[in-house]
Amino acid sequence: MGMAASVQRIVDNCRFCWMCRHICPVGNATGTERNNARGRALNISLVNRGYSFTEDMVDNVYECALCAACTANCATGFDPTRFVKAARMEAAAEGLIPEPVVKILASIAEYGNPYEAETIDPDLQKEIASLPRQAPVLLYLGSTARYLNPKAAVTAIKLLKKAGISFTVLQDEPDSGLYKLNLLGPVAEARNDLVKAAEGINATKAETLVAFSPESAKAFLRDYPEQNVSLTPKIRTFTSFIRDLIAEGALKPRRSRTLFTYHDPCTLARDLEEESPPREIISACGSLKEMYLRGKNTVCCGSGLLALYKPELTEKTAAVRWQSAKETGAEVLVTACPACHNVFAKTKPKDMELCGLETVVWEACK
Amino acid sequence: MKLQSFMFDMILSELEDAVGEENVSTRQIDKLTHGVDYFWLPRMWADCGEELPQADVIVSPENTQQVSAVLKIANYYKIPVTVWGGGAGSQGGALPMTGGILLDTKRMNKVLEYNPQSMYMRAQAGAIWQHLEWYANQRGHSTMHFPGSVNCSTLGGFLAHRGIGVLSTKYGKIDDMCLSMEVVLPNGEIINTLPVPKHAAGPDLNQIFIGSEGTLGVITEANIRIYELPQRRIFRAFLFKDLSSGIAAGREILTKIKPSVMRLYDEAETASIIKKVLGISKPGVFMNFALEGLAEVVAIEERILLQICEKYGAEDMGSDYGEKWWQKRIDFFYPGHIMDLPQMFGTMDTIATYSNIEKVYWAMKEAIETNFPMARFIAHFSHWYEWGVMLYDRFIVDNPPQDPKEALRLHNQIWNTGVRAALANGGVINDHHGIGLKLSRLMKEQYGPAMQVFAGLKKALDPNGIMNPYKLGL
Repeated sequence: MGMAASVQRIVDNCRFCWMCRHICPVGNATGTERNNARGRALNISLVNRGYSFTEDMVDNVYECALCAACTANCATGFDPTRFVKAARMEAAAEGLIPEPVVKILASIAEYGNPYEAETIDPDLQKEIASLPRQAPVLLYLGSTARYLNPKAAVTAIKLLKKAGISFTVLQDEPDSGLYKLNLLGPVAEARNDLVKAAEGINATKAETLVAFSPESAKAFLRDYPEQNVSLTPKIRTFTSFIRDLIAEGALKPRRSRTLFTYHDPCTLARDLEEESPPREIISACGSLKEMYLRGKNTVCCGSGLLALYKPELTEKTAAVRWQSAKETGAEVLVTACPACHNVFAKTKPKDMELCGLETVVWEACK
Repeated sequence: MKLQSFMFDMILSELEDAVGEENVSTRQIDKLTHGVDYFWLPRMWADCGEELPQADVIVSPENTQQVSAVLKIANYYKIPVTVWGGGAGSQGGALPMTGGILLDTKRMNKVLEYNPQSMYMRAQAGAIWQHLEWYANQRGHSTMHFPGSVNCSTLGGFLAHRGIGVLSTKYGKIDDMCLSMEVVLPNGEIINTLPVPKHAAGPDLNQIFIGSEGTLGVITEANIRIYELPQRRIFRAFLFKDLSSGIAAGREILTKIKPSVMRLYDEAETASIIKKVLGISKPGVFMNFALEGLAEVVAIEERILLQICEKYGAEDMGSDYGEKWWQKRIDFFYPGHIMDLPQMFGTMDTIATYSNIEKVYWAMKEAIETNFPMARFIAHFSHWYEWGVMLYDRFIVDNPPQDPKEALRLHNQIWNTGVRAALANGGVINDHHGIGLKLSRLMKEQYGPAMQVFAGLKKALDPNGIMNPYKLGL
């Protein structure tokens, strides 16, 4: 396999090491030996030593949620997501991309989003149309909220309106390009999408971009700089932005008696190291009972690409997280990520409620 | 026996009927992934691009009844069954050396009962130990079992290989922590050991299956102890001038008090690993202690510990090293810290009485260093009893032969030499990693005529010889 020496070194160090097994959300949910960093590294290392790179092995690298729990847990500091991405790039080069991935890529090419969505929800369209074309703040909704969770997107817009923020949302918002980057690895085709999206965002001349989805925030704050793609606005997460609005008094939530528990999205807690703002927001709206594994030790629910690639796998990962949520005794599971929200909504148990963080604040501010 | 025509698919459909189609795999990736455990040999084999041991089918049951169904099928068709928990064993115990069925237990991962009154929890054998520890922690308790592989090994794996953790001196080995078990016998019958481990109703069935490495059946559930979290845990490290004074001090300490951690490193390990990780560069042998429990008891124990160490001329190194070691106790097992290919290495842990342990140490050291000048020998003593102590000795060959067959030959020669030196001086083949494939050939040398007891059990319980062939000398 034509991997960079630095990536090859990670493969060789992970191929006989199980020390992150306990924290892998996919491996723990399936109980399958191949579904962890060691399983993937071992098979990639075998390819590097003469075994064939098979469809089975490609499938296994796409079964990774790229949640980076293994990376955060490695005492030596290795990052297994790097060889997962490199193996995906190799699969693309060798024409071994699995059918579901081909479908996602075709959707991105045709519709500009991974969901084969041609239009957005009329209510969301109406809200966006009510906003000025240009403003100092650009609320970037992201494809998941725009096409799969428009209610959350509408609520986010209403919330910023209530706070008196001068902001805009792009009518034709470009996809961040993160999914293609994660599906194909850092190839030119994927980078071109980032460049195109950056051009669209920079053209708004907004001073601040508030990324509604943690996935988008992670893309703008981590992946774009890694790929040397520049964005002119200052990037803020939606959660830190709302936290500040509450602190400044622009939003005044009333504290209810509701007992919430909070699921840290991996991109927010691990990639962006943001743990406090969502908790401060929830505490302003009600009581918070924490899950045992939280913050940078959060357990991925299987949202994002994995949910598109293998929804049946996501049902298992989400069920594990719901179980942890139920053990807290809380009434409501809150998440700050529209992608996580979608996965949780599909697997919600009858005896607990699910709520996006934007809706928690909106209801408390009514 | 070679299966003809569609017979393989016939059996496959029976297995799918037993555990569900999605839990039966003949995918190449699953066979390869189960073809390498933590044993040095398959790792070397994989790195050389050699053919790996492969099961014909991987089966993942989710409960005892499904394990029973699988074993009934295997026993009828006389198909070998190898049980795989975490696969993190260092002895090759989980390798499917004759193909057949590989039974992966990790879907059996539930806690079934939590009983704070009797201080135990019941769990399925495929549960990863760290998950059990977290479960206990959330309820204000601990399992107090902290082996290096706590993140990756399963309850069943620890029981099957008679594992041990770093707090063993106070809390015991896995066999001390297990109250009772459920086992599926090779014919598919489900049995339970008695509900308590202490009784006079004949031999203890627990101790027949603990350490049996999947050769007598499949451990499916167990009741394991939970403990109160200690009010206080303190560390204290010392530098002794030599091994003899360190061992003598350790022996005397255990006649008076019960530390949870006692780790004495020989000069070679003090000068290598301890220097690298903890920064100690003085000559001598380093020894680290932990005391824990009620604060007032710990205070008394600390006073006694200091008195005894002073009596044996040890230099008090304070508590910082011990605390640092505790925080980093698992880091030693991550890549970059632990030995790895292309090195050849092995942990020859053994145990002996205080009368014999130094003889065992010096005999093994001399045997390895004299016969294999290319090998380094390092050791520490880390699980202590009132009657003796475990020797965790390792050999490391930095530049082993590149030819895999030559490397295998040298590897086995070093092991034979080291183990025979231990046996000749009152040691045993192994203390807490098990026998597996690696040491199977030496079991008869260790046991002599006593081996017929194991052989008799094997013949009675597994007359078709389907369970984990070539392991444990059976």
